Amino acid sequence: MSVAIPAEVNPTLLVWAREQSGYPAEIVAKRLGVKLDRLEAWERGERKPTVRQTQELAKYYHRPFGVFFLPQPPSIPPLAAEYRRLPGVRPGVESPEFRLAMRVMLQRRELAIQLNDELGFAVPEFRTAARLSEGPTTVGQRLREALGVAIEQQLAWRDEWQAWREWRSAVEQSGVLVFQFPKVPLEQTRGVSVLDFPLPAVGINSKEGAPGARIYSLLHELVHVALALGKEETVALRELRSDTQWMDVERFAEEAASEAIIPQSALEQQLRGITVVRDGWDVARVRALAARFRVTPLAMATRLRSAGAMSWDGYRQWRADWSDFVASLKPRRGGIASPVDKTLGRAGRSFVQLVLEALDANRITAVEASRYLDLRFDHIEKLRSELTTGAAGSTGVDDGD
Amino acid sequence: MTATEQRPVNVLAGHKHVHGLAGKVLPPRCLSSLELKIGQLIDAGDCAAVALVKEEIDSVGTPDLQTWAKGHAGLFVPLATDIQLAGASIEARYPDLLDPKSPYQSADAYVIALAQIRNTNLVPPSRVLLDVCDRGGSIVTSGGSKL
Repeated sequence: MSVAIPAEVNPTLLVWAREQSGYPAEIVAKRLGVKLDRLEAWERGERKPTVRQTQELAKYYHRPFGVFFLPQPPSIPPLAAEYRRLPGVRPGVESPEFRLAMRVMLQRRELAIQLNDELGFAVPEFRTAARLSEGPTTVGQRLREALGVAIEQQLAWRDEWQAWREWRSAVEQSGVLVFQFPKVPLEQTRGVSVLDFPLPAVGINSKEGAPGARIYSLLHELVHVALALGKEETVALRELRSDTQWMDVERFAEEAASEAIIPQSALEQQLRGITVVRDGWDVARVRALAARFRVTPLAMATRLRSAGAMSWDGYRQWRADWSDFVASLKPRRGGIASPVDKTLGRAGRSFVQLVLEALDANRITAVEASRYLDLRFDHIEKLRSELTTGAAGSTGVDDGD
Repeated sequence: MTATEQRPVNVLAGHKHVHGLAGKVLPPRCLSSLELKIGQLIDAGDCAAVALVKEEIDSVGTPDLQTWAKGHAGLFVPLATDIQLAGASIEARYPDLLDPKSPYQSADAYVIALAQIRNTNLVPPSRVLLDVCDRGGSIVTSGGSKL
């Protein structure tokens, strides 16, 4: 478009879209290559952006172009009315990256419900409710049973990547969508859950490099979903516990997740074959044991401590040794994820399958399928084939970060 | 700059036609002649699409289609004020065409707007367009065919 056509936008919507994105005006002006005064004049209605500039704004805010022409801002519930309370995120002041990650998750979840309905499929229902009074061990055991992962199966998995795919698949089959989101710093969150039923969703931060750590985050989030179903916790906006009380809930989720991934009975059985005195665990021994369960050494050390095989002092010493060991490693070399890997990694197999079925049934157009999967149309057939063979994601580059 | 005074033409609803519908419904031998005929219509100024369709193609289209679109820049009509306002009005009337939560724009409302403004045929309908046509009934006027 060579001619600079002014866009007849509603300035109120320019402000709304920017605030919803979480970006301050200075950043947006810089991104668009205009002076702050100019952006502010647009938002006050004193000047009009061009069509091209409006399209750029739409792209940057991840909103449809047409939203800027609405007579008034749409009524959309705040994001914090959807996600669980997170220690690193304050409701209403979420980072732009986190906001976008949540919006993508929420949109995919909504689409999944809609497509299931259009295709005449029953929406799978997650039914494992948990109560804090039951204790983390009981809850962890129940979750594992609900997921149907046998210990023999787990010990036979080829590596941590296979373990990640299997756990993820088990969670998806239990009626929970699993997504991965990029670009959000780990300090903000490692995982998040959308506490809406049916079809709650879990998002895992793909900056989490080790698949074992993703598994742990996945199960941790699943505990929160189960607690929400049991009415023990609610969304961030309505969760009223003090910080201290909330940390108790987080610890509960950690312990229940540990029990689900490394059941006490299986751990004891493994420990019977190892001669280590309490607190005699060095990095190499914990790594070897962790490898058997396809979990991270850190998760294993945490589990050993909760199982009484390490004292708190021993655990702290081990963590210090572990930190030294990690610092001595060469930086991780990331591979290049293919577009198909990225889609499967981020959207998950169950969502991808649903979109492809809707496409095949002519319930959605090719453009819509490409948009929903964030994938160019010419990659769709490759995606279909990868979905069948199950090869994608085995390389450790399924996140696209 | 307005689009109202131009002669009636066909409005191409997007690359759903070229790639989605044609690729699924028509046998491959028909595709080359279809593409040729569309090219002829564009060259003759008898076929148009809003610039948002080009954005759609650039975003999710195949490399072949992107190249094709680049070579037919005349197909794409800039979003002049009258198209903007008509598109916005259609989206206001048919909220299904605009999801404010969505991260991307569907060109549908603006394609309909262009057809309305040019008083011409709309080719072809997506599912949503069909819904709108069924309810509105008067969007396609010029060629006598109601899609």
